[in-house]
Amino acid sequence: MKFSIDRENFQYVIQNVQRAISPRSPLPVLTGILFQCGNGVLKLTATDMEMSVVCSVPVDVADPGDLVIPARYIAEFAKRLPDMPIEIETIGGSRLATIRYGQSEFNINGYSASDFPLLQVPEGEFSFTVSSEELRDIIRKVIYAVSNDDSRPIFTGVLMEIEGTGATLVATDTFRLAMKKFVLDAPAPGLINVVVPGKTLNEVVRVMGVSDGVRVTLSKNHIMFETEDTVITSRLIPGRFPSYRQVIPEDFECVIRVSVRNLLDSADRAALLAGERNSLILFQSAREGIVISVRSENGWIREDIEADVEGENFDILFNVRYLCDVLKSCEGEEILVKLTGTYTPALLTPHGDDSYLAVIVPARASKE
Amino acid sequence: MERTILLADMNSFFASVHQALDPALRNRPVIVGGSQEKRHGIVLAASYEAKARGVKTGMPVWEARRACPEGIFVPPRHHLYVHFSTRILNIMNDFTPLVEPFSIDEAFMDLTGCLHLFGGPVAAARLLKDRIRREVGVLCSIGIGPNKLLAKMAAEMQKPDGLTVLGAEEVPARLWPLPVRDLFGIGPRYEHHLRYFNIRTIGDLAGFPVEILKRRFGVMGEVIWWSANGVDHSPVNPHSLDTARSVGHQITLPRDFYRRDEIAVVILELSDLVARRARQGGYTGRTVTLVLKDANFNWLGRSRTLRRHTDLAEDLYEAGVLILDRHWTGYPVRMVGLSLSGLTRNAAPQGDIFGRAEKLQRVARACDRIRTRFGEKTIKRGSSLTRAGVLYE
Repeated sequence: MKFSIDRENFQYVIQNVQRAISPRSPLPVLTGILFQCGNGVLKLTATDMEMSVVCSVPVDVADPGDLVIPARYIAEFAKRLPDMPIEIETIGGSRLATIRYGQSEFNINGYSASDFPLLQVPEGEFSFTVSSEELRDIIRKVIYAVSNDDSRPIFTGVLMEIEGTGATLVATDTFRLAMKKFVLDAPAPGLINVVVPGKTLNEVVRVMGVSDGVRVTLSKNHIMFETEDTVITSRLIPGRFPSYRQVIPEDFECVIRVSVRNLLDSADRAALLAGERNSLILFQSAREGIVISVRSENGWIREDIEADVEGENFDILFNVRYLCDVLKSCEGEEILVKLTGTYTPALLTPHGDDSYLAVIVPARASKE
Repeated sequence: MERTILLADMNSFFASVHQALDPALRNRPVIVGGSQEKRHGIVLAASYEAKARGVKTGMPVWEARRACPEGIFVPPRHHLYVHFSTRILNIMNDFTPLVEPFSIDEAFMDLTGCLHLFGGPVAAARLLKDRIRREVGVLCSIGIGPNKLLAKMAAEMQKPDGLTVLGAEEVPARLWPLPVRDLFGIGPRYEHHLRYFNIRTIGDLAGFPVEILKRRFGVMGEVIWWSANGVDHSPVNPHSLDTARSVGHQITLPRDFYRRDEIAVVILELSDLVARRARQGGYTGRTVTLVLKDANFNWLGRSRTLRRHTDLAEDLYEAGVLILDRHWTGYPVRMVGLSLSGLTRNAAPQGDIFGRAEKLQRVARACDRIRTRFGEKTIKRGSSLTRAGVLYE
């Protein structure tokens, strides 16, 4: 293997695949990045066996070949390289990679490329294309509700439901839920119902360029995201996502229309006193608007927010983080907060946008 | 603001409780510890009459018997001491709600705000001593100071039945000449380490450059230096016992368990028991700890913090089994322990979107009512009927 590449491209490909590596994998070869070059292209692959990221860049190839290079060295080294052309070479069938830059060289022992396990992906069953801008927005609107508790893996993923050209993403950590609908450019052959790991979607957002479209391909147990130069393939989470439709409330006792900005600013200030543990704020609907308040041993705060309130008044305890997560993901001017009771779920949806909604379950007042 | 802190330290508490209950024991050398028939155990407490003859706390019973042959040996009765301790705390609570139980026989009071009710600290202390003596029947040593540290140091100065006031301005004269080991917070380890700096008295420590102590002992270096200078800002916290507690249970298995499924059944049974106890106390907790011991008494303890406070057996079980699956390597298990910590009485429970927690909560309450009325073993899970069930047989 022998090729040359400039510093910027070298850092870019490594950065794109780096996160898929499992640094403490019991399989040493998985702690490395697979380098493959040929036909004027350098292709890097990293995988933790759940997800794999493949990124390609054009380079000058002098001699095609492949090698797995330990990620912790090559990634840190790439950051420290001077800005000049870089040449990478392995001699014969050896596992030593030599990186030349100017008059200097860096040598690092790698693993044989034939030991590197590649994620076997069966033929795709259905594909659609979405602009990266739209995909980023869709993912951002649900990803915050994904659970990070691995004791129930199904909730660490995002449900993707497709019927015809209608697609829905749903995420819930069982305390709140977020749902975003969007329209596909091609109809699906049947009903599709899969759960995509939250980690994969985070990676997709990170790796995706600004302008290009993203091609999404689904197969039985895998999902694949292809951008211009990067392919992310991931296993789907097995199991059934609980039926979310029945937990989205439909009848409301009180509907509040309020400025997203004002509510977010107030909630953000109140969060300061809400404490680390439960971060609860008292949310009160009144005739003239909303009052948000927190009383703690360190002090108290009261925020009056102008709003249109229709219906019964309630005093509700919300986790302020859940509220802020929803508000931060809304770009519209106003949001509708629809209440069903003191302890029952509240529904939040941007005013004039039916494609996105969030459900937050309040906390119960403590026994004291 | 200048504070007035009082520490009441019960003298020879366990022995005094027995003397209070049985007039025949008064003014006699009472020694609490071990068991009377079997000649073993250590001395947990000794009355001043016994101490006068050289009996010390922690001494083996046989040695105490030799030092004081006419001693009256009493086996410990812990629930009595708890009961007496509660009675004393109740009296202290009549003075101020700012009472912090420090151990079973010591408690701090912050008198700052209520001094005018009693005509000053010494009058308040006399009244307290008098009431504890008359109503409970034990003597105590009281220390008064501008903070908890000096109150504690003052109480140590006169035993038994003492009353000592130690002001901040008296620190150089009365505290500094004492050996550094007498300073509250200095144990044998610190004493040993401080010897290398030639620090032998509290005064040596107070005059030592604090930077060097910080470099050697970290934050604690600064804390002990401030202590030696009589400075302590820690508040009297009436809730100090509410937070640090945990609920747990452990069981030694009738035989070694080899199978994951069998151990899981034990974890489920322990979860039920621990969750029930938590609910009885009105507690919810966030951290689940599983302890496993093998046949050679090697043990493994691992914790997992949950996303929300719980008092549900199902949540404890889920966490317990997760720990088992992650950390148990397949060795035979002889003992299993499970505990719930990070307890609070006033968590506002976060609602569950699928209503799972609420549903389980209702089941748990129903089971609680059945168990309270008809006994703990009247209702049990199916898995307790398998061979692996040990707790609800």
